[in-house]
Amino acid sequence: MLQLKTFPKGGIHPSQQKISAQASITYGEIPKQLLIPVNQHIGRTANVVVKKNDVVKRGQLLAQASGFISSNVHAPVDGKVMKVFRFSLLGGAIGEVIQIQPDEPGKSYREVLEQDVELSVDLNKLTAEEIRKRIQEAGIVGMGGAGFPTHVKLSPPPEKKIDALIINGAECEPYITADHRIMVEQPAQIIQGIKILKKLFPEVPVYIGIEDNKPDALNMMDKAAAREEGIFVVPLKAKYPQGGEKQLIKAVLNREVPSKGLPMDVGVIVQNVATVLAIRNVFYHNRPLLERVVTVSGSLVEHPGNILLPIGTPVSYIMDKFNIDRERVRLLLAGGPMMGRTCHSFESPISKTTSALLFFDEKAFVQRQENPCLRCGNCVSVCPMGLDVAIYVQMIQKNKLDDYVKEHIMDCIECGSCTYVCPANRRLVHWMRLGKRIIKREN
Amino acid sequence: MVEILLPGFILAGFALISASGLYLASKKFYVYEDPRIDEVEALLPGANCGGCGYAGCRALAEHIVNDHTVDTPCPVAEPIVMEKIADLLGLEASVQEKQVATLLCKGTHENSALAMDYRGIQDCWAAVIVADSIKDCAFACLGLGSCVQACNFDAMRIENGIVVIDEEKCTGCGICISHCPKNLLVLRPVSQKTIVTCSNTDRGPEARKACKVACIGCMKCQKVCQHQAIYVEDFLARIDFEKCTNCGDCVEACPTNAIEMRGEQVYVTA
Repeated sequence: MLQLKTFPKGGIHPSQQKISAQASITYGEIPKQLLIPVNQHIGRTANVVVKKNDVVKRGQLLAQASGFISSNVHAPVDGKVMKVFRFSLLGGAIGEVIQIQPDEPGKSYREVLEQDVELSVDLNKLTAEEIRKRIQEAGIVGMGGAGFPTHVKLSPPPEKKIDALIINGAECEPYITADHRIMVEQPAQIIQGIKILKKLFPEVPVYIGIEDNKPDALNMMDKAAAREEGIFVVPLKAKYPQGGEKQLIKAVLNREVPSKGLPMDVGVIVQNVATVLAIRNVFYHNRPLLERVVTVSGSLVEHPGNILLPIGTPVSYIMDKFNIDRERVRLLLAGGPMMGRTCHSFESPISKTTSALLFFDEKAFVQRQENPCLRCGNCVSVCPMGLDVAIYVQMIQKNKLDDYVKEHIMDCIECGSCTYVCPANRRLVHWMRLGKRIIKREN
Repeated sequence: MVEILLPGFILAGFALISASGLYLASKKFYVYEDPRIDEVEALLPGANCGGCGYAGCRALAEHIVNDHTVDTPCPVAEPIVMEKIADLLGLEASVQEKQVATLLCKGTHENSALAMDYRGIQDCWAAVIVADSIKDCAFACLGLGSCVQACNFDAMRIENGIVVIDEEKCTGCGICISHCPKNLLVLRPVSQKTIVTCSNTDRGPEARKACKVACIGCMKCQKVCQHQAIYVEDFLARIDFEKCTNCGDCVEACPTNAIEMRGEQVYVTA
């Protein structure tokens, strides 16, 4: 039997919990109000270009990127700007949001999407420059979770030769099935998006990495890619954190991204499937990034599902839609259980990077006491980046950040594997992030 | 007899050779060091806090003697110490008033409630990774004590969710300032009694919702001040310490008690 590819170093096998894998993508309605976060990406905060009482159309620019590493934000529905204020976001940060009162609350978002005409795109007429420009204008960011502006990723400096493109369909986090459903339901559209990307890097092979726990997605993507030249579906052995850029490159191409380096240093560009779909919609529907698929799951959700929502939908709308009892929610996670962020406000809006919302009750959420390190080395053996986690954390706890720690701690991808295996319940990732923060403060 | 004397002589001989070797080496490799460095170091408090900007008291003493200047006063020592050092070197000491760290926040649990049940690592910097603020007010003191850990003089403690500074113990070294993720700590001259104990730059209604004693930027203090010492910027009152006379007009005018007059007996030591 053929040995499936995976990354060699570390990694864990958490319980999959992909309970919403067979639930097809449903469509939400336009909520009574939308809160559009201004900062949904890595980089400089965008500048708000609308003011109170402005009437905005669907797709109209709300906030303009304030530099190259920044991203535009658009209005997902027709409506009126109520106010611009600071509000707590899903990541825990407090940031500016634009409140929009939609003209047609309660209207199905599917109807809104159906109004968008499907344009015919002549790939031969598109130039690389035009593609980059339109992706930048559409405010496309990496939808896997980090939110790095896509046009930056697609503009490598000329000395870095790109010889492979990887489409990330690994989706290794437990619970999340948003990318999975996209691949099952819209494989042809993803291939259209890939073909646009191929215009930027002609002759470069494209690998679609999908974990073997999604046989239906593998099957659908295989069928869609079979007719295309230079697009290969790579089945991967399921292991967390395979969806990490560096791990995926190692698994698919067996290349190692150097410390402090980027995938483009080894000639690779990685894009998430949801991002590719968003790029496709820019050209085929002339639609900027306005909506995304969110997995709603967790122990409190009776019928877990995947729902397509306009960006800016408050969590409270989703809770009403899925009949989630507010009183019983003990833990709300934006993202997966491994890397997701805990949230504390039900009114926070979803953003371009919210792949899942998980609701847990008291039973699923157990707080254990943090004990001293046992020096068992479990964290070191599962770290996919090969870091001496236990040693770093002890140094951080003692506030002794020496050169050794400073040299390596920034390589941590915060995947949470170490915290998952620690028998002493140590909050290793939180400590690592604290260490990174302290180093940033000192610089 | 010889059996005892011989080893004694041999040992004495070795000692003599080694001693002369050491003596010659100390002459040959002698490095001149200003004896006044030791004298200055002895006068300095020896806390090695780094508050002056040098690596420790020895490094400051070297700077004072070698550069022949008292431009960097020790923030910890009494002014009389700097005068003594200046006398020793024949310099003129500029007497500076004692500075104390001050928290620009009154967001105790009663005033600004906890917005979440934070159970992570008990450190302010660890908390801001998870959420910008764990209280209703986005600017409030988190009360997890990163500054308390940083303080070398046991001058800080957490009380009722905010940091309380013991002005007797505080030496004004300023270490705590960089350890506050919310930038709520400043140094003020100890004679400056009037302080705006708020850092919220949100608009009035939002600030009021977040905290009972927030500055709402109503400008009343600015209007009432006869010395143009208090001004409102970004919906937050700020005091110019140079101009302030501690008359107390603004304290009375403030509708939310965001301006405070520090008396002599504000701090009850536990």
